[in-house]
Amino acid sequence: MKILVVDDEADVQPLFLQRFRREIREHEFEFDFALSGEDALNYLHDKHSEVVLILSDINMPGMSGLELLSRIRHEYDEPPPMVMMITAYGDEENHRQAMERGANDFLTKPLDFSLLKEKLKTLSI
Amino acid sequence: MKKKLLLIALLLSCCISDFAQRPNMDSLQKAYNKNRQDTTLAKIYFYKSMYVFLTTNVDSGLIYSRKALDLSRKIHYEWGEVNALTGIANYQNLNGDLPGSLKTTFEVLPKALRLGLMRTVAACYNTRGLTYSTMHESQKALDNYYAALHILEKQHYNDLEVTLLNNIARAYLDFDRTDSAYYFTKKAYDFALEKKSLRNFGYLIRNFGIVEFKKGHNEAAIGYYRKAINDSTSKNDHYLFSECYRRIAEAYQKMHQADSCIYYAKTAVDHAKLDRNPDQVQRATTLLTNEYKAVNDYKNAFYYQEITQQAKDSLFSQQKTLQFQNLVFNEKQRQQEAQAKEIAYQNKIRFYTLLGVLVVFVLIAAILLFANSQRKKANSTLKQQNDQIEAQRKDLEKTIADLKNTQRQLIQSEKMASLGELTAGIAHEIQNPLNFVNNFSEVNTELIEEMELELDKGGISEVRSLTSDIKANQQKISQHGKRADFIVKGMLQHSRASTGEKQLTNINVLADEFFKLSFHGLRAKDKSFNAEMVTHFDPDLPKVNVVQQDIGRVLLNLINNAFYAVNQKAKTAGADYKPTVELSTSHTADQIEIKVKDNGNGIPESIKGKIMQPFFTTKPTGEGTGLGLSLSYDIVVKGHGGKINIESKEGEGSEFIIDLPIA
Repeated sequence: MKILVVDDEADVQPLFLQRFRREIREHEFEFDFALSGEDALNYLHDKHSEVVLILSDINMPGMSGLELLSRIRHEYDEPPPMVMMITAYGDEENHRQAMERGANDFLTKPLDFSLLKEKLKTLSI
Repeated sequence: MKKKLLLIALLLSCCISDFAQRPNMDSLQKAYNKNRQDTTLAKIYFYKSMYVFLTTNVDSGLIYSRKALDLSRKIHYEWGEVNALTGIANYQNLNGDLPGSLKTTFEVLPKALRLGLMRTVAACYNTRGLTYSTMHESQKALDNYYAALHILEKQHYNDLEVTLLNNIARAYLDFDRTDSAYYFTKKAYDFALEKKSLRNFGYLIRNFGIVEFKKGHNEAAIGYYRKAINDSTSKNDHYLFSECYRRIAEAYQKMHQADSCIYYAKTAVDHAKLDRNPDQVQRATTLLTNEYKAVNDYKNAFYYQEITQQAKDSLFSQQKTLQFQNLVFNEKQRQQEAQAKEIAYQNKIRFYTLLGVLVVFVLIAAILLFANSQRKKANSTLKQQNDQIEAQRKDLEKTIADLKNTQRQLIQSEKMASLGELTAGIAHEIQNPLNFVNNFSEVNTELIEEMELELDKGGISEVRSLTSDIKANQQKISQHGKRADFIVKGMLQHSRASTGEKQLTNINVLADEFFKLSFHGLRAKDKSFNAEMVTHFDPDLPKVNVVQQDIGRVLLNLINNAFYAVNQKAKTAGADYKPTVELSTSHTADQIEIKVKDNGNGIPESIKGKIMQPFFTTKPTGEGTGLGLSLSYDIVVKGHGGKINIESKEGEGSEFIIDLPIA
């Protein structure tokens, strides 16, 4: 299962890779990363069929995660990728907007990787 | 000669006699015997003069009046002096000393007026009227009588009125004004009847007779004359009798009854002789002479003509004397009048001079008073103004102190405001490194556990790989910890009052940090907010010596403004608009340049000059203090010797360029 992680923080990448190193080793998950919404769209433009799940931060310079979500929902509906939004501000407004724009789930920072793993595993089955 | 004048005077005396209150001489004498007071004695002298001797002995009367005057003057008894003088004027008049009498009345009148002795004043006017009457100055006589009458009526001295009214009536007879004469005679007559004061009755009735005669009513006139003779209280009033009989004879003459005329004229001559009155004698004998001539009885005509001539001779000298006296008197009076006029003129001049001087003084006093009050007013106004100025000065001092305090508070609140804007960004910025620290720690723990397992298995290569991961993670932990540390320190520095200490600073790091802080801060406040953040950092940018928190504040401010500008434009611009804020650094040999550029609405020309002014803000009330740019300007220009330039195009965006000198 290919997962695209969108976050402007570059260190998210080694973190995910290490957190999910067992799953990666056993080829349960495959991670790709984008540092901005624009990056993510470019990536999806080429490989949208490969990506099953998109994990995106909301607060990013330039295109925000919510905007990205809207674009994804607008441009890639067949098959619709799963999009989970992540934000440091777990407030109602962001949650409501994310759900309105068609997010499949809403996670708050700091990420609970065990919870994330569980969610991903249920998805993959 | 003098005797004859005295007689005339005596005849007049009846006209005066009432002009003093009739006192009880006996009781006065008794009082004096008891108290021996000089005032009482003076009174006795005066009353004796006026009542005992008036009709009996003119000389004695005058002597007693003089005694009363001398005593009164000696003891400064004003009442006595004034009344004695009035008595003297009266006797001077009776003696034929008309100028003396007039002079005395002129002297006594003001004193009597001053003392308020109105009865005496009236007596003076009456005496003067009699004097003028004797001088055949009837109008002056009348004026004085009226003056007296006016006082009498006002003061209700009824007892004097008969005498005065008779005097007035006689003056009118001299004028041939029969109606007036009749009116006053009748008034006096009725009054006399009412008061039962019969002493002047004969004269009053005679007046009626003359009035009738002048009207041509001869029989009526005769009736009155007879009644006057019969009703006269005195049987020795030969003057009255002589006059009345003569007037009867004149009436019969008019009626052409020669016998009766001659008979009564003779009786008149008899009485005139008894009265020793040459005027009356010649009037009666002239009548007889004419009548005898008319009946051709020349013997008798001649006889009476002789007597007429004798009487006229005596009368002539008498009249001569009178005329002479008149001349002397007139001259004296003229002199007196001239003197009086001169005195009055001088008095007038003195009065007007005094008045003028007084007016001038009053004016000067008024001016001085006015000036003084003005000065007082001005002084009090000045004092008031001074007080006001002083109060205002104090107020201003207080206001300045308040303002300084407020300014301090405002600067602090400006810091806090930008800090507030930072807070959310800071939370995010700290949360992120903390998350990394936590996550990498957890990962390392897992990796170490794995490493232990691998060590048990003896998989050295695996262990090496894990060790390098752990090491890398450890670096990440350290790096993110430092990042959080930097943020917190920066925040603290920002909120603290500036220490003013400069230190070598990497502007790129500072700028980048505040760029992120600002972005996240704004995002925290406004979820819809987003903007492209573009940085062009000069990788060779030299470190510059700056007060970090101050320059940080400037950067934060400019970046915040830039984000605000693009956000404002995003609200109205279409979907094509990409809000972008660019942050770039560059350097020359002696200075570095920081540019903060946005593609917002730009700054309108109209406010370009004002944006550096304190408290100028385009933000809605409560959102901005209006101090950001002004403080930035102070920090860059005054604090660091740098420059702030603004390039802005309306509708296209703004660029703030900061130049800071290197070292």
